[in-house]
Amino acid sequence: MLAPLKWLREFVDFDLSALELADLLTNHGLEVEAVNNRLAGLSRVISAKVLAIDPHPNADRLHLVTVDCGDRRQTVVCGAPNVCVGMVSPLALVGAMLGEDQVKAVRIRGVESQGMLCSERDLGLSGDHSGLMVLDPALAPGRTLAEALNLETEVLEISVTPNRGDALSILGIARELAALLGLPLTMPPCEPAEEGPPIEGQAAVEIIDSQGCPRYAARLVRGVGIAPSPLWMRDRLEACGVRPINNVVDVTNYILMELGQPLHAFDFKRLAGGRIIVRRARPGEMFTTLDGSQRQMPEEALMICDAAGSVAVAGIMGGLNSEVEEDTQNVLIESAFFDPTSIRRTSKRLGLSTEASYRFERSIDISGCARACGRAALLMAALAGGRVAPGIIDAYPRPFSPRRLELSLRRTAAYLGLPLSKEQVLGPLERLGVKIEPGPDQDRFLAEPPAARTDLERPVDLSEEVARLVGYNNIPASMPRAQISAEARPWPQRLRARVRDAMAAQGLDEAITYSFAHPAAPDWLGLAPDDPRRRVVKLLNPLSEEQSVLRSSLLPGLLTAAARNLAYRVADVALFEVGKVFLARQGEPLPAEPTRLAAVLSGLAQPASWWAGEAPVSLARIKGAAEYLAGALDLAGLAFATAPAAPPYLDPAEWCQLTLDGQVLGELGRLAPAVAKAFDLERPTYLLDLDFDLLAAQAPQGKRFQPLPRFPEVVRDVALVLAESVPAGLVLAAARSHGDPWLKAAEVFDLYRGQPLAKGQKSLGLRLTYRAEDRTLTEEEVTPGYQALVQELCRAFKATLRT
Amino acid sequence: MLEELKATGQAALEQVRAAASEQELEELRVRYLGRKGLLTQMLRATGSLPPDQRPAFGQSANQIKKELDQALAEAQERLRAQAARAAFRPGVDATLPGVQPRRGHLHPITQTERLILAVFTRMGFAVVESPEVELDWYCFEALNMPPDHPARDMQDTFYVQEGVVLRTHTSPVQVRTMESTPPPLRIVCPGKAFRRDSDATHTPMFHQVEGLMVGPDVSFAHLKGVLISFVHQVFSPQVPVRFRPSFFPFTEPSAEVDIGCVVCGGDGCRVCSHTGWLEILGSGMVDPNVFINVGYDPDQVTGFAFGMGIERIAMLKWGIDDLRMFYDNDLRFLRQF
Repeated sequence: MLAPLKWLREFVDFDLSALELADLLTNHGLEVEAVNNRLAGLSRVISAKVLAIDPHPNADRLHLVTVDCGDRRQTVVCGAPNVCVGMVSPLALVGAMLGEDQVKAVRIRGVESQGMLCSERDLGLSGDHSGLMVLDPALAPGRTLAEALNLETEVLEISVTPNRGDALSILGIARELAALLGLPLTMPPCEPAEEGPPIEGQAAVEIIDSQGCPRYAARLVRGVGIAPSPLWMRDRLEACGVRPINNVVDVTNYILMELGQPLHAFDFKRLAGGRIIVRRARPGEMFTTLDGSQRQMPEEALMICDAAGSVAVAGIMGGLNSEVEEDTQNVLIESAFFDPTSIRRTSKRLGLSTEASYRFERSIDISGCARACGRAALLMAALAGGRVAPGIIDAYPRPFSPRRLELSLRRTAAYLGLPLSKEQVLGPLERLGVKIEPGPDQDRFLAEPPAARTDLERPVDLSEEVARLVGYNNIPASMPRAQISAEARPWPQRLRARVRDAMAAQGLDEAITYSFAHPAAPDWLGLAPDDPRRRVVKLLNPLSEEQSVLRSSLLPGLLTAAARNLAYRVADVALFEVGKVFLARQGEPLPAEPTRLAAVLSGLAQPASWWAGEAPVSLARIKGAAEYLAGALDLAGLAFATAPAAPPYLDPAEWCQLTLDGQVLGELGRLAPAVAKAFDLERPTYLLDLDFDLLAAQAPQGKRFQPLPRFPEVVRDVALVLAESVPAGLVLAAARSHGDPWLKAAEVFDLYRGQPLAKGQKSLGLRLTYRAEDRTLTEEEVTPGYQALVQELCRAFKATLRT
Repeated sequence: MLEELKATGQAALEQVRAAASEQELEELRVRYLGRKGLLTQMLRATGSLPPDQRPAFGQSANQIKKELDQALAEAQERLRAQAARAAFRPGVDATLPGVQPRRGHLHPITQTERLILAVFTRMGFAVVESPEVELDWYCFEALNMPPDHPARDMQDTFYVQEGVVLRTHTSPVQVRTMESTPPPLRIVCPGKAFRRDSDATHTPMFHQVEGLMVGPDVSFAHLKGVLISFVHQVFSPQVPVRFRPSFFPFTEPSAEVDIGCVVCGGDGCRVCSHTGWLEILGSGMVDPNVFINVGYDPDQVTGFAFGMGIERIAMLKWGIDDLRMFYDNDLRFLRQF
């Protein structure tokens, strides 16, 4: 809502600067987003009185005009036909901005002109360029134009919240100001002088749908002459962002802005039978609105009709068939109240929102319809030379019945946490026009909000008004009393934090990617037709194709982020994300929202350095990430296994499946080349994708201390040469389960391939750790068990000892 | 006798100052100040002097001993430094980078969420979560936003199907919690939210923390107390806080909370649009209709609720000027936090 300051001042005589006013309104409920200065370019345009006109020595059509600028005289060159001695006109001084152009001192045909006498078009005030703009000859010279013409220079830009439809007008904001400042509110004249035959008998209003239209007031103005509005009205409309059209239409817009009552002006001669009928649209009804487009009316649309058919979409837009035109003489003014919900539905259905529908949706002041109608008639008579027919048609089938709310002083004070006297509660409400009557006791009163304040429905709404007018910043701050809370954060939340910390602690950076995905993302991953991740959740109204479904996997988002970083020339990418994915469920309105953990590695595992060589990411690195996590979460039953069927996005030669106590936890491996290409990832990329919810279900929530060994250990290393196809894990498992009670650990410490080993063979270095709980073992004691184990391993895996 | 003392002292001082090794220094100490040292012996002989000469001799002797002690200490320090310089082996370049593991980083949103939640959990708020795809009832209707209410225009909504939306705020968590938990309660609800809006200052996905406190006598003054404390803990105790009337369908009265601009200190700058204030959160007293919708009795309980954008807090805290950075996942950005 744009509120020009001079207009506001006609209603409330405040003595505040624009900035002070902005602060006051903002702090009490009407947020001023900006104070706009308009016509700043005209600040160097002044009123100047023509004292003498002399011929230009070198040009027949130009004159040298001597003007009185108030504090001095000066001569300017002027070619306007209407210049005459004694007239007062606007003079643009050197430096004034006229549109994009700055006025400069120029020589015109050999004579210097210090400034320029202006037409209305020169000043951007209208399209009139027929001659100099004529100002009131009584006007003192030397005054700035905006001041001399009472133009609106300062405009408040106010963001009005949806509950405050009452504040969508100059009157509404003025009412608020008057209450805040304790000043009287001055209403403009709303009673027109009437003459001629009365409206009764010439026009009639019939409301068929009184639910949709509880009130419809109308006045008739005869004999108007359509013409442009005077400058002051055009200026105010433009200050409010409304384009002036002609005096009759401008009056309706002016009242809309001033009183918040949307009006419609019908060309009376085009209303068949002189009748207005308010009813619902006929099924399939087509109607051409005054913007020239033909629209199909939704069934519930409220229509304004005459004896022949529809003439306007109620509260939204008039029809082409009844609008005011150049030759219009008689005007019927509509000033009605339409049901907010009905208007909103129709406006949404039509995709058509207007200044009128915006206000009706937020409800207008039903008590003000007749007043606004009278003021519009008065202004039309004044500006367009019309005669107002005596009387008003005021069809009001559902009169406003004020609500009576119980107001408790004690409860209001307790709600706000502020000790309040009776005067502190009732005073602000009365200043807002709420009528207060005594209630059943000293504490309780009956409050009757004014019709304009449809948002005041319950006692709590009155508490808000008190708080607003007292000022939120005058309410003390205090800490509440409550029982000490003893609840720990839920386990999944704590585990999620530990997972994030563990991933970051091993050098990965956390990403947060959009929950939206491209519908083709499952194709990019090559997912099978029956893969559950193909059950994506689609959006009905996405912003774009790329974001038209919800993600069913974290991988596409992370791979895209990795590729983007490589494009930014960030060489080494190690990203992880913990987040929800979405899987549609048959017969359920809400999808499943499992949480997953995924990671993507590309480039070097550690930054390249002067002290060590380059180690690119590998299957071992991504597996290490999973193992690190398992360590950080005390996961005991984590196992890795290869299986024939690799997921389609992983390289079948470099991947493994993770299981946790026999349940599938996820997988890790190298991104398959075809998928890598789809994501523009040229270098080897490794990834990890785990089921966080399973982790949360299986991870132990506590741990037990293990006593430290009291006796030293004996360590034996052995290198076995065996076939490439034997997995190290199998050898380790065999060693661990061999049954030697002293064998405490078996680990891989070396892996070798190449000369002198045969092709298809590898040497696996095992470190075996022996320890007894009750004494120090000797080498001799360990030997028999060690030899038995090595023999067994050689037998089981067809291995030989490497020498 | 006195002259001899002074001469011996002078000789000792010179030798000590000229000493070239710690060993030589030790020998000098023994020679002069040892049990049988020259000066020690002279001091012992004080008793053999005539009484009138004793004070002057004693004074001089003490003076000389003190000077010598100091000279010894200085020499020792000088020799140690010399030894250290001698021990220095060229070839160590201390300006070469050290060996450090790669440092991972938590996303700034995660870090900010933790910061915010830490403040509220300290005040006894429980952390609650609920689905991101929500029923219209939880996202709007229960929160006093019936269909065809203009307030729905404030939040452009993504729809999955009729009646199913991507939650536009984390407030549904509050409704679900109140439905299942009797009052009193204190909760905060972190999580993702979605609005159909994408430009320089809006991303279609963002993160919120919302909070709710309900009890028998919770007041607007308490709302102010808790939120001012929050601002002071997250920013600084000196930051001014302003409460400004606003409108949310689910609170009455509603308040926007502004803080004094952390960039310009309130003088006015581009970040605060020259107002000196930055909007950081919305809040208000829970609307009685919301209580009725979840089965609470608004005559028995009152409460306050608030909500903030995590991105907004992070931007103000770290001076990040482009919201979209949070979702680019540019490592040059992520690795700064």
